[in-house]
Amino acid sequence: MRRRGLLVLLGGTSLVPSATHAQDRRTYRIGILETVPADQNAANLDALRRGLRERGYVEGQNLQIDYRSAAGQADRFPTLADELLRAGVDLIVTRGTPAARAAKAATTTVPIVMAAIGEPLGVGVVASLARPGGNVTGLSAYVTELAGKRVELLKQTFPSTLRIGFMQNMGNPVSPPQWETTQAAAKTMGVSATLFDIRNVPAINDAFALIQDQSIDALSVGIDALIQANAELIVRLAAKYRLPAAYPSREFVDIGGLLSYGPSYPDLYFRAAGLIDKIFRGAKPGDLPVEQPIKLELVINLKTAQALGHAFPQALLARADEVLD
Amino acid sequence: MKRGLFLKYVVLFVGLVTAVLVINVALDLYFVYQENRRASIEVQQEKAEAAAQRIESFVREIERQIGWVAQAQWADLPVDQRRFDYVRLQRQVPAITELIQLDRQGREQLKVSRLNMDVVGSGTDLSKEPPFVGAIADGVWFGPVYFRKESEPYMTMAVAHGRRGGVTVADVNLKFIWDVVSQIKVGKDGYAYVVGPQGRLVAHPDISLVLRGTDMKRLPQVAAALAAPDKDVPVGDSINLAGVSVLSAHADIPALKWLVFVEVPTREAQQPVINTGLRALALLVLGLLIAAGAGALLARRMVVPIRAMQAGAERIGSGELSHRLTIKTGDELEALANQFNRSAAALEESYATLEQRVEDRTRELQESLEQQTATAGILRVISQSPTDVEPVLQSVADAAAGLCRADEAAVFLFKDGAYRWAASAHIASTYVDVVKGEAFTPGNDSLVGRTALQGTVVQIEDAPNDPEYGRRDLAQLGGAHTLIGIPLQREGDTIGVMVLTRRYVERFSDQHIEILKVFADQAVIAIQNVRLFTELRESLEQQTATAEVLRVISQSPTDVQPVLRAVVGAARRFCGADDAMIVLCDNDDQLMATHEGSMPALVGTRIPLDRSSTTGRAALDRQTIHVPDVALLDPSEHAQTIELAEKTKVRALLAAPMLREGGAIGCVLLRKPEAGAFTSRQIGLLETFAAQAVIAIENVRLFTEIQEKSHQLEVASQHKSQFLANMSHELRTPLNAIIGYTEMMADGLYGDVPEKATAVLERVQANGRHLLGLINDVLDLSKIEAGQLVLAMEEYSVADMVATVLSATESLARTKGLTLGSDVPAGLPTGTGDARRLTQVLLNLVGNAIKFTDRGSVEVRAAEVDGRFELSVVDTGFGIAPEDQAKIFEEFQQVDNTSTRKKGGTGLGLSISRRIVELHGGRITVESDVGKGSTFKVTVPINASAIKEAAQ
Repeated sequence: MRRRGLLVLLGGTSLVPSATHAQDRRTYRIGILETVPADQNAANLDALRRGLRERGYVEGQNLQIDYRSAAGQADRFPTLADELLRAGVDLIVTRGTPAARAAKAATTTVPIVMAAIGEPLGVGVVASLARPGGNVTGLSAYVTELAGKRVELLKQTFPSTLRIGFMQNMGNPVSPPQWETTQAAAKTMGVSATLFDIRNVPAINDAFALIQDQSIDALSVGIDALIQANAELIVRLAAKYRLPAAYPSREFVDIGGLLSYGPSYPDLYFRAAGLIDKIFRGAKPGDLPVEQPIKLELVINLKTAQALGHAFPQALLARADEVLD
Repeated sequence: MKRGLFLKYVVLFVGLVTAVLVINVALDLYFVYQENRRASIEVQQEKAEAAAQRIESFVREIERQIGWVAQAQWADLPVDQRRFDYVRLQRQVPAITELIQLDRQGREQLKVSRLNMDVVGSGTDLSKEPPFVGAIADGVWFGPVYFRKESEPYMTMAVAHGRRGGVTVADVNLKFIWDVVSQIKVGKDGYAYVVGPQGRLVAHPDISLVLRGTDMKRLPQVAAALAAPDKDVPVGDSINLAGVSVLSAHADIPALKWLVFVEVPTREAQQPVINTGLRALALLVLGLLIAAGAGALLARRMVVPIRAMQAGAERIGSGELSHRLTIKTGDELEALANQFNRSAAALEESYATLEQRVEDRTRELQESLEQQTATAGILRVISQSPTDVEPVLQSVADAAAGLCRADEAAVFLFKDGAYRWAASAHIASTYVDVVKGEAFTPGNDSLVGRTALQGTVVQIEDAPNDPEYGRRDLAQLGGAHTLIGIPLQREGDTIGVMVLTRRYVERFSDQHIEILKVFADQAVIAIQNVRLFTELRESLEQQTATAEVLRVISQSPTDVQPVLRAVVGAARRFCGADDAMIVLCDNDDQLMATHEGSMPALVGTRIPLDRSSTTGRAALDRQTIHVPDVALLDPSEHAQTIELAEKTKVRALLAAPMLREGGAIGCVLLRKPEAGAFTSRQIGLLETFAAQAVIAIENVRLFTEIQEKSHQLEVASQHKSQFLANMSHELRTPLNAIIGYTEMMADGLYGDVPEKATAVLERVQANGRHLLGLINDVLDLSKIEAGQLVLAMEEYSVADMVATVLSATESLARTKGLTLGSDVPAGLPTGTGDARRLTQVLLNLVGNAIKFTDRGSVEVRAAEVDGRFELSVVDTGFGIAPEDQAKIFEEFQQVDNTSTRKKGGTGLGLSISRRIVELHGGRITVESDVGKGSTFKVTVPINASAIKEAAQ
């Protein structure tokens, strides 16, 4: 009797609360609603996985990732979003405006993290950047502003440029403001601007034929699922037609595009992991502000420039964050 | 005791050690806490200062980088070169989003942006803007924090290009401070954050908080620091946004007016204290263990001898008084044990005597209890048996024998001049039979006799060997030796004796004698009860019987037979006889009027009235004759009685005379088939019944007489009325002739009449009319009296009736100079009644009023009140004195004074009016003041026929 009481007393001392935070045993399921297949998206996915891993989410242990790609066809997003929800994911990661809108339409309860979205304001996704509201948060990509910057870069690099073409899928709600910015920039720079609205793969080929016909000097390419999915085709056609082109992200330059200016998408994906972690720890997505890119990078491809028979001006080289050759 | 003492010792010991240790630990902890807190705060303050420095140096680094291009000559470089420099600057400082070059006049020369298109030479005048003004004045200017799209924190910096070279303005994205802030590590969970001058969060490891524009002023530490920026706000306990208690310190960056906070969760800061506490607790537990062990050892040494003593005391306590303790500790405990032993010895000694006493006392109590129980039992029997003494005596005998250890008990009661057996207990039935036959008289011979004689308790120690004892036969029969007799006494009389016997020789103790006396008293009470009860019952029965006869008398005023039957029935029931009859005297005979009973008798039989029969003797002698046994009568005196008795097998008789005004009208006779005296009560009761029978017979006689008288009166009255009616008719016929002829003569039908004769004729006429009125009135009255007046019911109108009356009397009133008026409201209902007679009544009243009024007015008023007509005749005449008001409605009554006599009249009018109104079911009344006038009021039902029918 007395002995037992003593044991209780001793046992009690070892039960002083410890500060150790035990990771709970559940498995988190993340659904990814992407524009392109995973193999085309490796850099971003790696960044996301790295971010999650740093926060204790390891695929195969307590994390399961369901990847769905629209393969460039934005009209497939609603079906894919439903598919993910039916599979019972805890959270959906999206890329681009149509994916975000499809996910938001599909659920008001499952949290949505937009790994990248051109401009979340004004397209019915979030109420404000500081307080998005609802079940959505994520990272924005400055795509509207940067459309003008690309025109400036093209004109700086090729001062003789007179006619600029803007290739974009205007079916994407994020696109029209980009076209307006492009037109305004062109006017400032004293060049003409022509829109090449592409909504399917054949339209890309047709657009390049038109570019040739209309003596377009340089091409600014917007970002969209269709364009991402057909990046190789576009880069190949630009090379074929010896057309200087400025792209919205470095993945185009990696496969032979001339130059890109835009946010670092892998960085956005990496930071998305932070938002996912906060949500998994109980934060409401609507309370988490939409973040802007910290890093804007200029990537140029010397080999492509050489192929075009052109050298980058010194100012551009100095400015470039990365130079591929 | 159990483990009590042992536990107490241990607890005391452990408690002492604990107290010392706890005080030690508490002091230790207190000092450690204070020390640790001071150290933590110091460390944090240093961290805050360091963080502030790092952030400031981050900003200063940007300033330095800008300063690289900010030279006076730089502004003169070609634009491409300047643009290139700006681009390079942006490359080196990622935080700079936008750079603007202003010339010395404050005009924009170049703008290079990461997001927007570069602008060259726009010339926009920004000379009045704070960045330009600030930079020109101080060389460097830091703008306030602002938020792009209300989300991203930015700050504008401006650096002057020397004294005359213009200014470079840079927009710095403060999100880059995040890197700095995130890298500031304070302990394990500590962190730093930066707050702008308005309290808005500028940098925080959680970037979301910054982007959301969190207002940090709601934290007390931030509010306090902002409120007093110059003072060194002491570091202290606070809470963070998550509500976690933290230790907070801050430092300011004067150039930017920012505050840098460093916070560590209080728990973490106090970890050393907790560790110290845990160590102290372990020490405490160890101390407790040691103390418990030592305490147990010490306690055991104390407790073992005490336990031994306890065990010994327990054995002594449980009755083992011979047990002795053996404790050799050589201290107080041994002395205590010896004391125990001495006490046990003393206890052992006194115990033996005590036991005997208790035994005696218990026995006494037992006996006392038995007595009480027996007494209570007897009382219960008494209360349950109010009419029968037998069960009480039986239980008294039972209880007495049982309680006094007697072999037999018996109770004898005084009855018929001797003490006879009444109840017994435990006596063989054969012996009882013998005793039952005995009748003891007071005397020294028997025990019962001796007890009765002396009136006290008598005891015979050994009856068979007592020479004075006379009934040795009885003692031998019952095998009794010691005998005791207890008298049952009431008011000094010995009404019985209780006897107890023992079949061995042993005197009854005084105690037993006391008990037996109590029992004897109880037996007396029971006997008393029964006697009182019986008396009460008999008295009640008598009263009931008397009341019954009286009831029959009152119900039967005209017939004597039911009363006689009731008297006979009551006499038989209550006077203890089987058979009763009433014999009435009828001249020289006696007539048997009523009989009830089992013995032969013939109602209507006559026997001569003489003294040879019991009834005759009773009637003639006018006294009750009691014959307990016919056989003992003298045949010469009672010949008839003996003869009748033989015929009807009667042995006992009782006859009570029915006396009236000194003579007997008969007698009530009780008969019994066996000889035996009637009790005095029975005799008294029979006499009462006889008196009642006389009353009943008298009643009937008187009643019959009255009935005959009243019938004769009625016949006489009818004859009178008939006579009057006839007479009036006979008178009226000749009178009509006289009046008729006189009238004709006065009218000159038989020639002229001389003056004198005319006056005579008029007087004849007037007197004739007066006589006719008188006869008519007498006729009406006689008709009414004879019951011949029949109302002729018809509908009438009061208004018409009043109008008729007024028109008939108008001339009369006018002659006397009186005002004649009426007050008849419109809408009176139609009445039903004899209109002619009612008009007659009203005419009579109005006529009277005019007649007895010399001045003033006569008014007729009509009204409807509660279904009746109220007709009033109001005059201002002489009035009627109160004593006369009742008389005026009687026949032949007039208020007797000179004035009325002058007015004439038959004095029958009001009487007839009253009769008519009453025939209508109404009333006539008068109210009057002498000298002021009278009001006659007639009230009749509106529908008189309904009233009449209802009355019939």
